[in-house]
Amino acid sequence: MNNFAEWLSTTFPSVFIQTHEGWMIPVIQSLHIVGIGIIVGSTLMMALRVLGWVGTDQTLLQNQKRFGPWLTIALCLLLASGGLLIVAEPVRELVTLSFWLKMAFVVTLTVLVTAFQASVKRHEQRWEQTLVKRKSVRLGVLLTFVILMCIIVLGRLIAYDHIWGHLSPATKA
Amino acid sequence: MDISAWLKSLEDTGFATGVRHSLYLFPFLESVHVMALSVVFGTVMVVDLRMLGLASIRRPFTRMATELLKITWGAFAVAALTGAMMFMTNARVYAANTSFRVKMLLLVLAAINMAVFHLTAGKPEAVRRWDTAPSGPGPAKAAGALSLILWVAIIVAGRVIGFTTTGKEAKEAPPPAQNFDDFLSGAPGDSAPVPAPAATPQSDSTANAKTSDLTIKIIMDTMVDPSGDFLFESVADISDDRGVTHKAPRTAQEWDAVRHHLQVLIDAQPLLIAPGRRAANPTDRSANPAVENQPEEVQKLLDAQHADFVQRADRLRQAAASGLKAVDAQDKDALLVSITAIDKACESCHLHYWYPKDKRAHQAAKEEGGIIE
Repeated sequence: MNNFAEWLSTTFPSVFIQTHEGWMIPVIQSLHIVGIGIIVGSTLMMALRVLGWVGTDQTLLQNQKRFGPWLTIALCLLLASGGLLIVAEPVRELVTLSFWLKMAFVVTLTVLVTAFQASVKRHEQRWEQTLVKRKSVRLGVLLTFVILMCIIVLGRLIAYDHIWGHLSPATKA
Repeated sequence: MDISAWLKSLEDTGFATGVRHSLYLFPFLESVHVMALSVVFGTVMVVDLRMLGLASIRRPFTRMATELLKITWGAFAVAALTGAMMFMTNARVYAANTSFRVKMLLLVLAAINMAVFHLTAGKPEAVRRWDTAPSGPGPAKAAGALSLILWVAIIVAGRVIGFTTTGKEAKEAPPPAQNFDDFLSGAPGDSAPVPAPAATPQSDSTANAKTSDLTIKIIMDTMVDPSGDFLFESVADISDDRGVTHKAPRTAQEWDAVRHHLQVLIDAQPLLIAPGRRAANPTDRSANPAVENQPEEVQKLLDAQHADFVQRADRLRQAAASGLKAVDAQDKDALLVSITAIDKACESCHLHYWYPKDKRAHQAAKEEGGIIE
């Protein structure tokens, strides 16, 4: 990974961003945060609807149709801007524990949210009548939000990976 | 009290000092700030899009706004609180920073935009007329669009702050305090907590590294090494057949000499990290290539890991800056702690870039707790 990251940092797109990093990196990071805002907003709306705290004038399916596509759009924006940030600073990103933990959580969250959306489409009645009342489902909603918050924290910690001490690959010579 | 003194007093509070000394607290505050602002932005966007008639058009506006704005305000309070906490840690630098000022101005504009909306199209009696309509009237649409633009701009300005205050590298580099290993072992960290000095503006000397023939090696040989050697000799506990004697500066002149050499180390930092600075001349061949990297190998590492090098150089600067405080207080114990931190900063960086193949040196550094690689 180290070699790959070092190679990537010498490629044209990487060098291009590095030579314009004064404005490119903050702009890409800002786009990334806008994407995170959309994800957090949409996930929050879906989560709070399952908990029955907001949007109860809408069915679960209506709510999913309102916010689901925004999750997809924001995920694409995040993958694109995140990809550019990796290209820009491969060593700083790829050779960190925080980045890989974050990716693990991103995959978990994507699977969870996609499965939820598919299930609501397929079993709308069951979700409305029984599933939303189940304690395990409500805990799952909470867990989903905790995972999202972990992703945000880990994203920020990429810049501070030395926090992990010997667990951080950045600490190995 | 003038503003500058007030800002300084914020920086001097126990809280601000504590955050600067901790490896965890600043990233923690930043993370909570990002979480809170993403909730603010996410929920504001939902309401703005409703006003624009672009989404949730079948839901009554008042119902959505009432449900969501509670969450928005709660998250905004958290963002404001964490923002204020981060501001305190480096108040004078932030207050003078253009991006920070722009961000505050944009926040005021967002507040005015919201107030205008609530006094016009957002008044309860006015809303009743369009509450269930697919989109708001012109002024509501304008407020929604303006709000979206302002909030995106606030995010951009906020992110730029981190790149224009202490410089990207210094801002994002952890201070040499504690890490997860120390946390697990309950140890106090691999070096004494040192105050993070206020940001050093990039000196003009950083600009001409590409045209100057100074290399890192020359800067080390002419500035850093001699001053380091002087400092290592200045304070010591000498144990010999006469028992333990403490060597330390005594006269004002001796303390001044220590101060000057610490200042050399601080001033060497921007020279070392100047963009385009070469490690050494190609003719500076290593006498011991089995353990030492050749100039081109060092250069390759430096090119690939510039941010890391900057962080390590900053560790040296911070250790020297803490030494200055010890000199001010004429505290020889604190000075010894700082000088030990300087020694570890040097050794850790040398091990990483200069003699990474030296297993014995690695072992020794590990035993002394000097590596934060």
